[in-house]
Amino acid sequence: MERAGAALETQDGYDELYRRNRARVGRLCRLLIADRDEAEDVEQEVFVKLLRQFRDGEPRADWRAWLTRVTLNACRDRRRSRWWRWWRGATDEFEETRFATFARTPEEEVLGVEQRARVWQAYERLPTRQREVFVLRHVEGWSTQETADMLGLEPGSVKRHLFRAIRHLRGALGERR
Amino acid sequence: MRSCLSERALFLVLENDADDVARAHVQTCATCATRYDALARDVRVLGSTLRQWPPPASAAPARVWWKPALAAAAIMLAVWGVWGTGRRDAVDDGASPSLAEVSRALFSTEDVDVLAAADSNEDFRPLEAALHGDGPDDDAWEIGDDE
Repeated sequence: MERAGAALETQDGYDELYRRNRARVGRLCRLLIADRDEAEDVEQEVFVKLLRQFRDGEPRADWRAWLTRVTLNACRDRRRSRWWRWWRGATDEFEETRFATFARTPEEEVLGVEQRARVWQAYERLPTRQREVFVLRHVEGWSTQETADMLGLEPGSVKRHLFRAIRHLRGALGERR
Repeated sequence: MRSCLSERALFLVLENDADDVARAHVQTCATCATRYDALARDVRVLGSTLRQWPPPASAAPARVWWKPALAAAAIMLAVWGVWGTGRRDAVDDGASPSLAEVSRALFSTEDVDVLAAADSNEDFRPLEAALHGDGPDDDAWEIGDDE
């Protein structure tokens, strides 16, 4: 009885974590992989790992950070797949997705469709490392130190990548400034 | 007075990693304050733009057409190579009668006997003798006697 109760608690805990993080993990996968099907595969992979981790009873102080790390690694593993990398260029295409949307800020509302498209295109041209750093730092909102820990980099290196990424992305906003 | 900050220095201020002098400069220099505000706003806008799903339809990057095209070309080349080899073999067999005929006409040694026979033909004897300087009657060639 006690065991059944614990299992139920585990399931509830997992469901809650899933509900809270699904959109975020999905978005992270989509940003780092860009292929919808691949991103969904990786997302599922991440939540399977979460379930196992949860059932193994290894409590984590910060599940959100753990999920981010696991997602980053899963995306990297997927990217390293040679065939996937080869085909990626041919299949990269942003499509309508089921990922959650977020409320737009007034500033963003000012951006026209063309300008937003240019930002996305500029993002697509970023090297992988710069993408990872920018997404973790300014899309996910992690600190520089946390970003460095997740990526296994020095904070100084994170700042260097971030500076280059921002400089490149700001180029897409050029006409706005 | 410190000159205006570089883009990198402004970025470090944004990252809370700048020295006090740089931070103080941003607070006192109107130009750098404006640049700093623009940088902070742009970073915010970029972050929130990338949070939006789906991206605008026009953000779809141009498909890399050459990879599938290259694969298709390689397959076609391979197919053509295999087919061409088979066809060449077939041509060797099928065209052999006409090719052999042409080849025989050009390089045949059978006519050598005919030519040898022609050498001994009666019709060519006077000509052959004339070539060797022992014509049958030299006088026959003279038109008139001047003496």
